[in-house]
Amino acid sequence: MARFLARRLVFMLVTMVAVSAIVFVISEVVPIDVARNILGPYASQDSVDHLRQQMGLDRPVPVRYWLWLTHFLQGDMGTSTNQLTPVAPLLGRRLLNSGTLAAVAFALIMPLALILGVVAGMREGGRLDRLISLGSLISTSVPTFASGVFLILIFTFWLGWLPGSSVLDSESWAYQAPAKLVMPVLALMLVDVGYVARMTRASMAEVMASAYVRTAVLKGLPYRRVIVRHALRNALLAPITVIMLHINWLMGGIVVVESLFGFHGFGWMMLDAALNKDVPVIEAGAMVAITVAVGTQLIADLLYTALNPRIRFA
Amino acid sequence: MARVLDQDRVVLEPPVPPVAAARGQTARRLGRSLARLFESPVATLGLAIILFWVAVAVLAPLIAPYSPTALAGRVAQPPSAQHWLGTDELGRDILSRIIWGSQTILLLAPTAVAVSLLVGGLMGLVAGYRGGMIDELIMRTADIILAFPVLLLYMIIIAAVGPSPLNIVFAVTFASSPAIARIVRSLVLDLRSREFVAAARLRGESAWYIMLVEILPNAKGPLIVDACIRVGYVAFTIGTLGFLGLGLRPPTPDWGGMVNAARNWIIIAPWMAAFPCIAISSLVVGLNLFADGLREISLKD
Repeated sequence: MARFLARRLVFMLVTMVAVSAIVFVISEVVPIDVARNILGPYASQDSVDHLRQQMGLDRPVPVRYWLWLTHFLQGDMGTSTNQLTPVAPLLGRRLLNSGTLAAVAFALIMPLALILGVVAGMREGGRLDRLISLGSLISTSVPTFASGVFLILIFTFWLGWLPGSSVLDSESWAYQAPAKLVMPVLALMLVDVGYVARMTRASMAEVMASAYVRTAVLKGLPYRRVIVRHALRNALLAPITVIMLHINWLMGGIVVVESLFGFHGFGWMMLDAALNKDVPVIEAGAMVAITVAVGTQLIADLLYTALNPRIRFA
Repeated sequence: MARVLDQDRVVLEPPVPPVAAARGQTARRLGRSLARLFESPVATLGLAIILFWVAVAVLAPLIAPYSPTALAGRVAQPPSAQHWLGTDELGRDILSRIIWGSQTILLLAPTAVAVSLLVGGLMGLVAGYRGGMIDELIMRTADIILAFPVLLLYMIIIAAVGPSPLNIVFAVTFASSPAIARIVRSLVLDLRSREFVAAARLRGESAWYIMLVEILPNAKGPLIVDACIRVGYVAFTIGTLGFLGLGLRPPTPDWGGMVNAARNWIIIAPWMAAFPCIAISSLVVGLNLFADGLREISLKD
């Protein structure tokens, strides 16, 4: 167990170093003059050079990477080259907003998708199964931005029930404005519920066709008991891993809905940083993303072993 | 029943040279798969949607009423007899832009998948067949890339190298070939201990010959299914990149980009965003319905 955790931790660190280096290198492929961007086109070349020197942009890439890395390890994330504010507080605020959004979405997606998947998989090929399978295939196929647009057209343009944008103006935190969370959460759900439901369905259908479920049915157990005691536990094993890995995918969805609804979160921050080549912000955000991604993978593995008595850590 | 009949026929047929027999069998199996595809109304619908958009893309010069970049009318006009789907924020005809935009996505998505398949396939073949250090190196690199959220990866790459068709193909390849490599590697690990591989090795064939001629053709079934699923997914992604402002540079007609430009108009001129959204959604739904039907057939085989 300790060895397993240690190996995961090492993998996470290696990934962080590798990705941070890759981001640094990629950002240098097409060099953009950050200092010139800050000062504008009319600044003299002298002042641009001076700022470049001040920001340390005149040093070679490996040196700058090394400086970034050592600072980062000491907890200093640097200053955003686009917004000219320290990265850490910006990142913290944005993460909290996105965390609220993601937590609400996740809390709704999980139970709904699992129930739909189990119900569909209980009778493979039945009418309900075909309905759920087709519905979830279609809802996962519609790109997040398109479902978001359809939602705005229905709830804002047509019914006038909800605000069409989720810009946080008077409220500083996302949880203070629940109405602004509704449509972003719905848009995320439309794409993700279908995906998780399909995984659950496949796993449930496989379990229902197994010998031990047939035995349980044949020995006269009530159907409900067969499902709850015999089928569910095994059927939920695979989806739990999938759901955890799905958080990676959810992060992508969050970028899209935040950008569409103007929600001040982590995803929008990353998009902004990428478009403006704000390397300190990209780097800090990438490190957060890797921690979340590898962390959820770890939780998935731990859950899987906790639920599956056949696997124990060697 | 059909299978039994087929077997009977094979027994009754006069002996044929092995190569010809194999070819006949492949053709027959392909025919049977297609027949079964049409048995599934859902997969047929998917195929119909795909063919519709392919026809639109091919016939674009003939059927588009206006040039996709011409300022054909007044700004932000609702659908009318002159402009069936209305005009956009610059007065361009939305129908024409959707028609021409189908070319963009229908060219880019399969190209990106094909290149990813080539790169990922080679990575997986070498990793699985050679094993050892090379395997470790390739697969650990793949793990690292796969651990990172895909869309963030696309954003960082494309924002850095600039939006262009070539760079989109590059980004898709970078992000999805590791996943393909994993699939190919597991297939190769299964195949390389088979007798025909041992036979080829004893004949003194080179490693590349064995990988490409002996192993690869036997792994193509699952790869084709995976590629079909992937085309839908990549079309989804290309649309999303366009929406985020990382697609093709304006004024190139690009469905995601059209939605991006229409965002601020959504309440005043909802048709500007709605129609490109319907276009991309229908295409991805069609691709996924078809791929799902194909996957089900392959599971039955």
